[in-house]
Amino acid sequence: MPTTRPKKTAAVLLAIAAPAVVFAMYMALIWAPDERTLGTVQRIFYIHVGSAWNAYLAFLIVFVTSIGYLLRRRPALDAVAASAAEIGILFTTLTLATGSFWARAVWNVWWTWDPRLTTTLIMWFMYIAYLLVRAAAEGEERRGRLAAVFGIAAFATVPLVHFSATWWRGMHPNIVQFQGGTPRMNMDPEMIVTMLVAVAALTLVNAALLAYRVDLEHLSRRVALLRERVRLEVES
Amino acid sequence: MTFLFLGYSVFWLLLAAYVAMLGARQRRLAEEVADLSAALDKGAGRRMG
Repeated sequence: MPTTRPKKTAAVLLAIAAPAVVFAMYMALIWAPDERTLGTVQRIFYIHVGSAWNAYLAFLIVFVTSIGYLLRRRPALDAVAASAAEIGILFTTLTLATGSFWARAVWNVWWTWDPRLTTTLIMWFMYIAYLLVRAAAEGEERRGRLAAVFGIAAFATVPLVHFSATWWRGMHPNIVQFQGGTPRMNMDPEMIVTMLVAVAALTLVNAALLAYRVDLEHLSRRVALLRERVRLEVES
Repeated sequence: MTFLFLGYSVFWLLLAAYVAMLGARQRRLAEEVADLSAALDKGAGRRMG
């Protein structure tokens, strides 16, 4: 019988993620050196990049599971897509919020219509629209189909955000530079290690949240089924 | 330093708010499952009796 409590996967992932996050915070706030020109505020960069990476990852999961749903019509894939979209929106919100504090400290503005910022905002709106489509569509099959098509189309915004800083000149720093076709990061090696640890720790948080959210999605579908059974019982 | 503190605070507050929201959603759904199951059991009991 399905349980009404989230399964162990989320708890196990959270138990791994918690110390990883503490370690990443230690590295980001204490261990990593100060940036020469920006100073201490540059440390926002670690959670900012970690959030952006996890937003991309969550939207990639929406994209892959949406394709899977259209091919196989398995409700479990639709449940993962719905959950990943919500978590992607959370991480995009975190990216925009942390970026805004960085912008205020470095550019002296909370927001500017820079290509990277603008495309990120567009991506955020696209996935909010995805959740609205889900909420508005009636019938599990129809909702799943519509959401899957929308989830595949919305993924176009992810490369748009990622390459916006390369395609259009803006104020947003681009940490990966191509020199003779080879990608290079113009950062202190300790900063690169800290960034990678922060990205890994937040990816674990992402996985824990996704496992928890998928369980809730299954629980909510169980509630819908029970409601239907009660309705039929009352009518008969 | 102020913006660094604010940036990290807002980051963790938003994350905590989302986890709290998921927890509230789970409690609400679990209560609803219990209520609906009880209603179905009651209906089944009435039919048997």
